[in-house]
Amino acid sequence: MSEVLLEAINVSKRFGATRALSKVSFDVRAGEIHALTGENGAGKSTLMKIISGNYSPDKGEIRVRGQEVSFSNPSQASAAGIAIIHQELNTIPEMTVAENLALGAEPTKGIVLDRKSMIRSAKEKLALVGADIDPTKPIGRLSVGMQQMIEIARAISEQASVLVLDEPTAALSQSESRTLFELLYKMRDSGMGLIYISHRMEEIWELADRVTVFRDGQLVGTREKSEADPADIVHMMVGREVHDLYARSERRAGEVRLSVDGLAGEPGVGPVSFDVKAGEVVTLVGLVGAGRTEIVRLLYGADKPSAGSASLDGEPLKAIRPKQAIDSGVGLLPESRKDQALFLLMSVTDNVSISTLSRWSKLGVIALRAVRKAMSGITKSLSLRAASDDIEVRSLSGGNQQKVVLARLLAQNPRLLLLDEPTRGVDIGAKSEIYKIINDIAKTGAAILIVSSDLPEALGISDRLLVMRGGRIAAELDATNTTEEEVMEYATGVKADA
Amino acid sequence: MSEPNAKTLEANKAPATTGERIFYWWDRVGILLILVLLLVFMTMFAQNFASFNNAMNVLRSISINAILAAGMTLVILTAGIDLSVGSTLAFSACVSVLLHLAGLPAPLAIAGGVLVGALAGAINGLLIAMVLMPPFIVTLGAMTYMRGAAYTSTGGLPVIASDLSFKAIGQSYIWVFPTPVIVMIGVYAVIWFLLERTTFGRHVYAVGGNPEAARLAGISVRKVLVWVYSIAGACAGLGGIIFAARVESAQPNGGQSYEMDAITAVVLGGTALAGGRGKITGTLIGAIIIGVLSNGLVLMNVEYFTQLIVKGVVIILAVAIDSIRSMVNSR
Repeated sequence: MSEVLLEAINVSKRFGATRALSKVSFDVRAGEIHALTGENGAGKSTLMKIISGNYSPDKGEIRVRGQEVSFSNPSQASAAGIAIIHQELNTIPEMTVAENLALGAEPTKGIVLDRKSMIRSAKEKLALVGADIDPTKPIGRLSVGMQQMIEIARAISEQASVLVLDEPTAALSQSESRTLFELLYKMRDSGMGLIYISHRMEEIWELADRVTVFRDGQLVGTREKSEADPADIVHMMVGREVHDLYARSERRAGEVRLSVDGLAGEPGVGPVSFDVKAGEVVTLVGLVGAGRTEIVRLLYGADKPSAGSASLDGEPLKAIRPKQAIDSGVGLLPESRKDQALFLLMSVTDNVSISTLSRWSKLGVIALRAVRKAMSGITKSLSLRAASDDIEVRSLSGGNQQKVVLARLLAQNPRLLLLDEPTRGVDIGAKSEIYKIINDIAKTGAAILIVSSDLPEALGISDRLLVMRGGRIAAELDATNTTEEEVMEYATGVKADA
Repeated sequence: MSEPNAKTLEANKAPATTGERIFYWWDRVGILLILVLLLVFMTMFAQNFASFNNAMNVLRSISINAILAAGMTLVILTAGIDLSVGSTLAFSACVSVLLHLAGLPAPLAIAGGVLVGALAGAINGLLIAMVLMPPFIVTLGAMTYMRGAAYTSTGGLPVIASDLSFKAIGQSYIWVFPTPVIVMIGVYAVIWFLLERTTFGRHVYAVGGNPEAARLAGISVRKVLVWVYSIAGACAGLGGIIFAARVESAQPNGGQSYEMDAITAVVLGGTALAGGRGKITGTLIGAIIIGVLSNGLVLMNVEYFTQLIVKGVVIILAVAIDSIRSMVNSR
């Protein structure tokens, strides 16, 4: 067996009341790709941050080539040959490729920057990854895939022996992913140890020599690829069989609730016309930039429409501010919960009640007990798991945070729910619960309009799909009677009738 | 196999490491601990420090700053800043004295002063909320023009009013308590109530924590901001009334750099300049710490110049503890 390059032994780490990792052991050998997978919040990133010197472990030890080490900052880790490519790239967009590569170790002549040798060394580094990039270009103008290559080039040039990649393909196109994989194989064959963090089973299966699964901060197991199959790994991740993920039960659509007529926003968005019935789940699908988010924001009064109208239960829906939308029974779950929905420093109760406080107050004075009681009723019905309703929302997992936003909408008793990417960044367990919640709300007779980029999800939870392309509705499809391929054909313009 | 819903949660268990344990308690007693240590220190080393009369002296000396700091807390909770409160205090003081000299009865003179402060604050709030100008710039401008207004109102000179009708508000006692201290406690009670018990209070925290989320949650961010700056202005106006009542005159150059003292009290009290986090009780404790420090150092016969050095160091130390806390928590 080849040499163990990096080893974590019985590592534990906690943040306040949350146990992020408990007694986890993990290693990577020379010449292997070791995939690390698990649901969000399983502790993968925490372990990587410990390995790369961003966090220090509460218990346990880290060994590099058998030697115990204790990193107190990332530069010590990188001096020991450990490099990490984060999900968010660490580049400075305004600086050139060469400047980024030289960052922190700029070559100088006397006190003057030596640009020539900077560019020369950048070219040498880029050659290591076989990338043909002009080093004098600002790095921000390159694609994410290219920028990633540059970061890898830096890692290799710094003699890294262990490279950690955190969800590297999340923002890559298919062909960029291919190029990346080829490079990873080359690095593996040259004797480096690679840790590859990903949710994507196909990728893991293609790349990895070994797979380790984390769940709830604990190590579920490590398998040689030759000894396992993908279904085993999924089962290890979830800890249960996922039956009928989408939890769709018989729903009956009623009268038309939302009726949209020629609604348009900024140039390129709309006009669109469609209906959503009571108890119906309709999903806007399409490529990024097709105008789906813009349409729900127009309905919510978050942006101003340039033309068209909408009505809810026959009454005109004229929200020019979110407040008016809420008052007329429209609720929005925005695209990005952290930027657009949550108050991370406020409690669960405060976050859930914030839109409906006036219903619980007289002359602006809140009936605190009544609010707490009502809100905890809602959070319980969503099986929101928080240590208490008083803890700050920032300490919750992505899935529970999303439930906080859903709870806020439920508190509004909405007739129309607009859900923009309701399961983005939540793990599969929470996903299935969110689908169940959506199904339950639909059964109460609310109209539900979803935006989703996850096609299996869109097909699984909706009654109808509206495929958008270039700001307009390209097709209306029966969700139970179509395929992902058909949707993509309309979304990309291969097919253009209906 | 485990239940799918049985993700374990350790509710409020005591934290594990020593560092976390220290800061677990710091979060709960925090700045109060520093105040207690300071009181113990002063009792031991400053002659005549520990007496009821001296305690009242301290509270009276901080009352104006504490009132400004109460309004400033709201502003900083929304991630703003108000540099104009010192100048507003001066102008409000001048207006109330001039109203008195013009023959208006005390309640109207007082109301006039507070109203002028609130209006100045409302203008700040409108510019920040509607024109989307940075609070720093808006209130920097207001700091300058309000000072100019104060000088203009009195022709640049102090105006003495030895028979000032409302001088009791700065000088008298209610039972054994100085009136300004009672006013200060009243202001804190009102703002505590606003922040902890009203929808407005929730909205202040929400706007400070995440303005875009606040807007999408149906909160009128603009309304909240206009009210917050108006309240800060009204507090400055009230501070101006007490100031005028204590010096029995209109002093257009009064209240210089008071905004900095107010900001100091707020920050000492643990309110984050980034907004969304802080408590009004912390601000009161912050103001008291500043008062105890000044008073104790005087009683210890420390030279004024040395006092400045000590105060500056204490401010940095107190806030450093908070920063180190967040560093430890995030490691």
